Amino acid sequence: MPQNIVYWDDVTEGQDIGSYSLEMTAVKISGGAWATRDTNPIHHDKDFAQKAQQKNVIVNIMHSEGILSRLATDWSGPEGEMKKNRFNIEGNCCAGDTMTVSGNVIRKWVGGEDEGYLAGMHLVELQVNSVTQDGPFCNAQITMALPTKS
Amino acid sequence: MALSEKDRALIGKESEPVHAPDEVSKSMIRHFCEMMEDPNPLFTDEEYAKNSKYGGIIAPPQMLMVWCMPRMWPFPEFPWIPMAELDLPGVDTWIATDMIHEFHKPVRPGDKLYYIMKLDSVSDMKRTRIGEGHFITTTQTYYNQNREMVGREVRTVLKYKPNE
Repeated sequence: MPQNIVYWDDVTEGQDIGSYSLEMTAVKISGGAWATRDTNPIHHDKDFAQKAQQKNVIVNIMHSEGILSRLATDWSGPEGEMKKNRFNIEGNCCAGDTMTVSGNVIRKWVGGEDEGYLAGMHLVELQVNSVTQDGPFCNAQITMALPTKS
Repeated sequence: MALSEKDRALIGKESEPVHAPDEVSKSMIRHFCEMMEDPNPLFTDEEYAKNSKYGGIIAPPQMLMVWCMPRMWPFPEFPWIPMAELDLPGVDTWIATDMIHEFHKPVRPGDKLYYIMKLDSVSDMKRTRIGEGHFITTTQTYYNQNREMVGREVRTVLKYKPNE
C-alpha cells in the first residue's frame, strides 16, 4: 500500500492535521486495557466502575496515548518519527461514548544544541485534542521529526 | 503539612532495575495496533518495514510503558522503589496529572527492556479541587538489553485524600 509522506519544508504552523471519531464500546475499552497490560478493574468491570462514580468502564491512559499518537503518524506517514509526547487527562471517556480526535501544527523549528537528543532534527509540534460528546477527554503536545526535501 | 524526615530523605533516590516480564513481541504489538486501529505499516507489515530505514518491524514508541507492566500471576517480587517507601500519612488515593514521554531509540521485537525510577520531588500537603494531597514527580528511564537508553518518562501523580 503506498504511504503518504509529509515533508518538513511543506508544513505551516497552524495547519490542520485531520481528525477521526471512534465509537468506544466496552469491548474496545477492555481490549485496550488488556493490550496495554492494565489490569485495573475500572477498565473492564462495569459494577466496579460505577462504584467508583463512573457511568461505565473508562478508557485507560496507555490506550488514550495510543489513540492520540496515531493521529500524528496517520498525518505524517511512517517517515515521521514521534520524539516526545506530553500528555494530559482532563476528563473521562466511557463505554458508549464517541471519541473525536483532532489536531493542528503549533510550532515548526530545527532542534537546537540545547535540546539534547532533538538537536539538528527538523521538528514540528502538534496539538492533539480528544473530546467526547460530553466535553474534553485528553490532550497531547506531540513532537515529530520529519524528513526534508533536500 | 510538611514532609517527614524519612520521606524527605527518599527524594533523589533511584530504584533497582524493574525488568519487563517478556521480550518485545510482534504479537503484543499487533494486539496494541488492533485496539488503537493504528495502520502504521512499520508496526505490522513485515515487507514494508524490511525495506524501511529501520530494516524491520519496530514497536509503536507509545508502547514504552506497556513492556514493563507487571504480570498478574505469578505475582512478581518487586525491586526496591523509593516511591513505594513513602509513608505520606492520611492519603491513599492516586490520580495521574501529567506525563511526558521521550523516545530516543527504536524498540524492536526481541528487545528486553527495564527501567530505573528516580523520585524527583514530593510536595508538601496541598489543597486541590478534589482533596488534600502531595504531588509526586518521578522519572522512569528505560533501557534495552544492551543498556542503551530507549526512552524516558516523567510522570506527576497526586496522592490525596478525596473531599468528603
